[in-house]
Amino acid sequence: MAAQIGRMSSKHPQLKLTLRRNTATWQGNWCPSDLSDSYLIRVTYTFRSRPVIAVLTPTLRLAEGKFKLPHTYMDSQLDICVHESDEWNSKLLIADTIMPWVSQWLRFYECWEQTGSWEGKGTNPEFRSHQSKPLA
Amino acid sequence: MDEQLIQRAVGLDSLLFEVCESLQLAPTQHQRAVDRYSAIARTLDSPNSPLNQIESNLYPQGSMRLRTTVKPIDGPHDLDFVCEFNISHTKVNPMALLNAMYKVFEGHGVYGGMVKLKKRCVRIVYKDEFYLDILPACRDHGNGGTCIQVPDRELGNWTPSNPLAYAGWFENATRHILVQKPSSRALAMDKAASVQPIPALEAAEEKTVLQLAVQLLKRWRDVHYADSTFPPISIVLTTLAADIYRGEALLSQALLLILEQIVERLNAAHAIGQRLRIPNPAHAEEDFSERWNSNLKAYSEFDSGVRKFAAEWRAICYGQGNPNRELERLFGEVVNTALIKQARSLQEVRERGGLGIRESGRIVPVAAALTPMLRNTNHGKE
Repeated sequence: MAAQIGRMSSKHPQLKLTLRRNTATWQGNWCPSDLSDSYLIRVTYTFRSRPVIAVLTPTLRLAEGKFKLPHTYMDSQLDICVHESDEWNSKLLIADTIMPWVSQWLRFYECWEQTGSWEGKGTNPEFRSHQSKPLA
Repeated sequence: MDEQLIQRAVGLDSLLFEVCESLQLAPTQHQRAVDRYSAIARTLDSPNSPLNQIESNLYPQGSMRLRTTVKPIDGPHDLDFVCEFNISHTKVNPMALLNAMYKVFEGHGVYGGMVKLKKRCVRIVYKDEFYLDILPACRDHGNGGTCIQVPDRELGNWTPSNPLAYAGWFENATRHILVQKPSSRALAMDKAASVQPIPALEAAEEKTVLQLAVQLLKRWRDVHYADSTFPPISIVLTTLAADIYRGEALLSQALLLILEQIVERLNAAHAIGQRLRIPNPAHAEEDFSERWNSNLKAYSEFDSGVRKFAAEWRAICYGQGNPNRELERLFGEVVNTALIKQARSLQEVRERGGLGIRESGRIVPVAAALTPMLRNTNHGKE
């Protein structure tokens, strides 16, 4: 946990850290491109669980004719889904893995909400097992 | 401009290049235009053509020559050519020349059902995506240089023109400021004898900033005035843009300057109780905007439209956040095409491990990144 906190504060000091028992929460502004909105994001990491990524504001928009956000847990912007279960474990640093993945998700979301086309690829849990349980 | 605004302008430019690339003739369309142009030149010069007695030179004019073609929202591309006969107009009857050219095509096995006689030209209408207008012309020895005279059916007489001088003026106005380093994506030019080649099709990044600014102005016109009877004509927008442009390297900033200067010129004309006049830089007596004399509504629509566009464009350039919706409203569906192309390029670079992020979360090439982006799979239902 100390390594996670150290790396996040050195790379992204604008994300404010809150610590509660074995859970670290970082919250702050995130902007994936010069033509992007500024997103208020929250990353919640409970030791040995997958980090939960939430976009707090603005309310993300659905593309015309779509009924849910792509690549999210529970169809919610409060839990976006940027990796498969075997692509992340608690030995990997959030700052080095999850945070760049958040940027690409937001960037592809911006194209999707305008055009309806998700260009960031990904997998669909209806075809592969979708493990959102805590990591071993 | 501060660093943040420059970064935003660079981001906007990158999207606008994609928009302009989607607006111009597709490579296959361009090749088809070249083929058809060559076939028309052969027809005019064939032994059966009564026009083959006089030496002639066929060349593109208008957007094809200036490389500012814009795909119409509906309907075909309109490509203009001049067939210049090497004879003084004083020795030729203008209506007889126009009719003779019409008859060459009307009596032709291929073009017979495809030809229409227009005010100043003969139009060949193809079943697919464009038509070609061919203006017959004779040399204007009185005015000399590249001056020509073309028949005008409404006048029943000749009318002066000088498309080559206009094209030269426009080329100077571009100041040869390219949007990016030229690449070698140009298609081969057509080399038919006695026929000047159509300028090779160039990718948007091989064009000048001014050419792209003109394409954007024309597309805005097509979208904004979609329901108007008298949208501003291309030559008016092109001439204003070229006259105002001062060599800005950033496309979005060049467009802003052009729009705001048009508004200033409208204000200056209004202040002295006149309307904006747009003389032909290659022939000062000709006013490209003469139709506004008899159509005040068209002038008023141009005035209000360009003021609105200038204000909206300033808000996009100097604002913050995602401008995609505003851009789509200004330039139409082509913005979405550009966004998808851009996202696909990003995905390709991402798959090659070429991306990373900065402290703010901004995605940058990996060489400029604080953190490289490792491979990942966005998971969950689409």
